[in-house]
Amino acid sequence: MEKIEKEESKKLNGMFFLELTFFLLIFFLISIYYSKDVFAGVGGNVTQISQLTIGSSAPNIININAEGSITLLPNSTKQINCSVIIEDYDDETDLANVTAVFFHNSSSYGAADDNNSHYTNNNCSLNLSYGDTSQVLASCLFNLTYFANAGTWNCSVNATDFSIQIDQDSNSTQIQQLLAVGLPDSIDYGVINSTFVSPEQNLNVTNFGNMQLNLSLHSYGYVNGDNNSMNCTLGASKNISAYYEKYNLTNSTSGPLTLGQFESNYSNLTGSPSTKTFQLNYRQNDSVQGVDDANSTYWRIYVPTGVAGSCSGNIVFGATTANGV
Amino acid sequence: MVFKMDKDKFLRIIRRMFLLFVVSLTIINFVNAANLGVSPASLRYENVLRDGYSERSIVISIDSDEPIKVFLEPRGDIGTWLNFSDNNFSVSRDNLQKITVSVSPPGDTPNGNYSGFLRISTSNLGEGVEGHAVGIIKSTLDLVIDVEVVDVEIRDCGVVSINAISSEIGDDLVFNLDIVNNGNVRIKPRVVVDIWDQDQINILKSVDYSDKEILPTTQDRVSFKTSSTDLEIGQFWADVSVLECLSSSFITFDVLEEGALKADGLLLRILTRPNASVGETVPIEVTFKNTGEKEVSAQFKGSVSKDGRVVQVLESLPSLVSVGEIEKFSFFFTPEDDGKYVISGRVFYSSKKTFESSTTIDVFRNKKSSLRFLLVSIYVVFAILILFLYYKIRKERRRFLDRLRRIK
Repeated sequence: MEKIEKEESKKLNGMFFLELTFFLLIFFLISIYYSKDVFAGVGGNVTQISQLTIGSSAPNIININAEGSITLLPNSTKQINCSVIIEDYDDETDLANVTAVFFHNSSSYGAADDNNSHYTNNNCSLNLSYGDTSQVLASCLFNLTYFANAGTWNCSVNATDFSIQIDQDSNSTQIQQLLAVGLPDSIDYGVINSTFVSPEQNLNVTNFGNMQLNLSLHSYGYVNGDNNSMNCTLGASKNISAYYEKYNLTNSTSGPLTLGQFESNYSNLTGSPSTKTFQLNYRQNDSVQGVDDANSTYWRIYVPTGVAGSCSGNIVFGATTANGV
Repeated sequence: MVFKMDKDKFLRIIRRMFLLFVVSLTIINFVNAANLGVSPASLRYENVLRDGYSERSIVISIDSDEPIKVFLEPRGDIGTWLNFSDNNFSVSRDNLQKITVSVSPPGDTPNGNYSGFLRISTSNLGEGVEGHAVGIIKSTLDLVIDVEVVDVEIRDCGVVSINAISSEIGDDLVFNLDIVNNGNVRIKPRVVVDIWDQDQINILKSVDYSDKEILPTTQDRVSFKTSSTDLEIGQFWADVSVLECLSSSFITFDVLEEGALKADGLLLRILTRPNASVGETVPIEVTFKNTGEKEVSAQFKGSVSKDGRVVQVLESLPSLVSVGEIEKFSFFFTPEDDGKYVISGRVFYSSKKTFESSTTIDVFRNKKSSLRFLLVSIYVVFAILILFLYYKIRKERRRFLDRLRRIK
């Protein structure tokens, strides 16, 4: 009996310890859960401990001003400024480098540089005196050539700090069409005898804009609309009619010509403007001018009887985007 | 070998060199002079009424450092319809010329499309040569102009900017509006101004103005004055509406003491992260700039709210801000739930307040939160299991004690 009692008592103690263990386990679990971030007291305030570690702050591009509408200069470069305001909370001196890419809608950010459509500035100048100690004004300058494509352009800016954190943003602007042409001052036919056709003179037309162009041509002697091509100092009539001065916008004919050959190979210059198809493209070759943006035109004049001495007249060369014939 | 040259041969060489020089001069004559440019390369006027008016601008440029005279000459069917703001002017590389070209079709013009040119030219630069036949080149640009004549009236306008100039007490208040007429008829836009008190509770005064006429396709300034004698010293708000342009704007102005320096400031931005996780502490930075004429004591008052309910009040300590200086007020916010939070507020300074500014944070539960939720669930299940076992043990012990008592 005593043995049984002892065994039962042992079991009872075991149950008690098991019960105590479970109770402590529950208490432990609850305390572990709450002790992580909250200390609470009955009727008192609850204090929550939040941990915040601020590492390096990334630069932030606040504003990009890519100029308004850009007007290019004929046969020249135009400097534009893509002006950027950047903020870096670590301090303005944390800003390591600002780069900018200026590209036409037909191109892309990663494309190779091309004066028609893509420009890169890998080192924009930084003005630390701008704004407060976290703000920087970056000036990203680009020298745009006269043959940069007209249309919408994008100024895309990358700001990098010394922790290699980057912010990128962009803004767009417009480049205006530019119609411009380069021509010599005069055509000197030299000394020509009466009833002879002059040697052929080559006249180069260069596109100094960013639009394909045609030509509008006419001539006058003294005053516009007089239907002459030249006035001479001596002779009975002193005038050379407009149709005696002729041109060919595509083909050259070398050597001396008779009047008949001259008339069949060349077009008449008229006394009133007439638009001719020339389709001179704007420059595409970045390194050499005159490769794809210049064309020769060929000129001769017939000197009729009744004129002598020195002769001079005016050839009005108009560049236009109008369709020609 | 000794090179010997007789006198005749020497003269022959000199003669040839002279001839070469003359030929070179002839070639040099072909060198380009100043090159003229025009932007854009063509102009198109759409929806122009008969006897109406429409204008566009062109920019004339040149690659010469020296000023060059430029002339304009209209040509073609519409030559007589064209007018330009200037003619016979000088252009150089650093002095581009902006010209306004306007078109006014006569009253008897049928509907349709018309075209013409504006010829832009410089004076002749070439010269004749004695005894030669010389064609002097006159380089011009023919700007293509297309005009569409219609008989449908279009009324369309936009407001570019609105501002009110603060005045000293007794002086008139001045309102300036820049309005652009995008239609094809002239307009007299009606401007209505309601002046509110500083707390934006009562309308103190209303002004109605509609005297300024604006031509089609032009932008013009509408400027008018109103007396400030019925307003006390302080800050006021004005609700400015341009009914015809379906535009309105809320602006602020001051009535100042005589000779007083103006206090003015801008709440530049409220900056925070666009998104965050539940339980994450997010910094909020408010930037204020003193744009006035004197130092001010500035304080930010705002709140963080979600679904229209204020979650946290943001109120900084007053801070002195010098003229032209920028002050930053910093706060921290820890969202306890996911959703869209709105941070808004104003800066109060020198008995004035800025426009309210706001920003938002999108708060979401990230994977860490989900893991924590899973862990809590396991804890709860585990605790329930332990409680159940604890209950079973207690029950078993009670039964065991009863049995023990019965045995005894």
